[in-house]
Amino acid sequence: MTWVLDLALAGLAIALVLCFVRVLRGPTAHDRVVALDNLSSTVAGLAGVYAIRLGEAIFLDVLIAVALLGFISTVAFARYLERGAHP
Amino acid sequence: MSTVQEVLTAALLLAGVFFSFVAAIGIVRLPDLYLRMHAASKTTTLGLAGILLAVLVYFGTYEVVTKVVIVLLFLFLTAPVGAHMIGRSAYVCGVNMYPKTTRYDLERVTIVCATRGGPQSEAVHARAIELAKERGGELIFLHVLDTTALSGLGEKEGALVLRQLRAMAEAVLRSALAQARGSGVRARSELREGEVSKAIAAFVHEVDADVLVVGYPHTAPGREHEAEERLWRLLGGLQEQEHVRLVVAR
Repeated sequence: MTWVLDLALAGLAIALVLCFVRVLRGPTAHDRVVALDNLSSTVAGLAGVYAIRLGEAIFLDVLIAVALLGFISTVAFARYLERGAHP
Repeated sequence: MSTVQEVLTAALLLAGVFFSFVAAIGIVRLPDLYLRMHAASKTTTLGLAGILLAVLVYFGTYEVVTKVVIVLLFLFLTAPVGAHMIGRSAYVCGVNMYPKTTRYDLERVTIVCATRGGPQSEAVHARAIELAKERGGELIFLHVLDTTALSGLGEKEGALVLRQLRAMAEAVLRSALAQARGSGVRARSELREGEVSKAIAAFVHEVDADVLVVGYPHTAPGREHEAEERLWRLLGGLQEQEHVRLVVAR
């Protein structure tokens, strides 16, 4: 079981790095927003893996908070960028 | 903790991590924003859902099950909303698509239907109307009066024949428009004079048409092959020159 959790953490860590590559490369602001949204989902996944690893169900609340924040920030960015299209 | 529970937790966890990982690869490797969004949606719907189900199986208490079910519902409601909003915003802001994209349903296409008139043309009109309905584009019926045949006539007879031909051509276009109206498609018509293939090419260039619908040449039986070859010789070059798709209807 431990090696499965280690593998999961490693996989999600690499996924985080890959998302971050897209955040840096862009090329448009929308690309960065999509990558950041994906980043927040991956962080939420990490919280889930930590809940199992430490046997603490309280990490589920972290997952909820991160997922919520990710959605709200995506919607906010989408509105903000769209506003920029027609001033 | 039973073995079944442990194995199920591990399997769900690995499935979730696998999808998150694949989505991250897609985000880096796919060529444009819209394709990357396709990959990004997998992280929430498959990746995070897998990990959440693993948490559910691992703990199995009422508190955790309730929370996980609520979070899953929340995720499945918000993921499409977020993806839609960011995609819409990107489209409005004019984020470019991958240049090799083959289908683009939001583009308005211009369809030109070159019509000859007569009973055989109805099938050609029907094909053009069907295409206009399918793609939601602008439909233009074009009729070209072949004036090259009139050059041998005298001035007076020529004018007389031309007047007759124009009246006929207008009738042809009127019936085509009526057919389009009957199918609930808005269309307009255009009458040109001159050498047929040249006039068609000029009109296609003028309106920057995307699709050109022409009728299959009706000839004596046994000579269809020859007639089709002539048609392609006359209009086939337009495909490359004007980036128009040639549709030959029967």
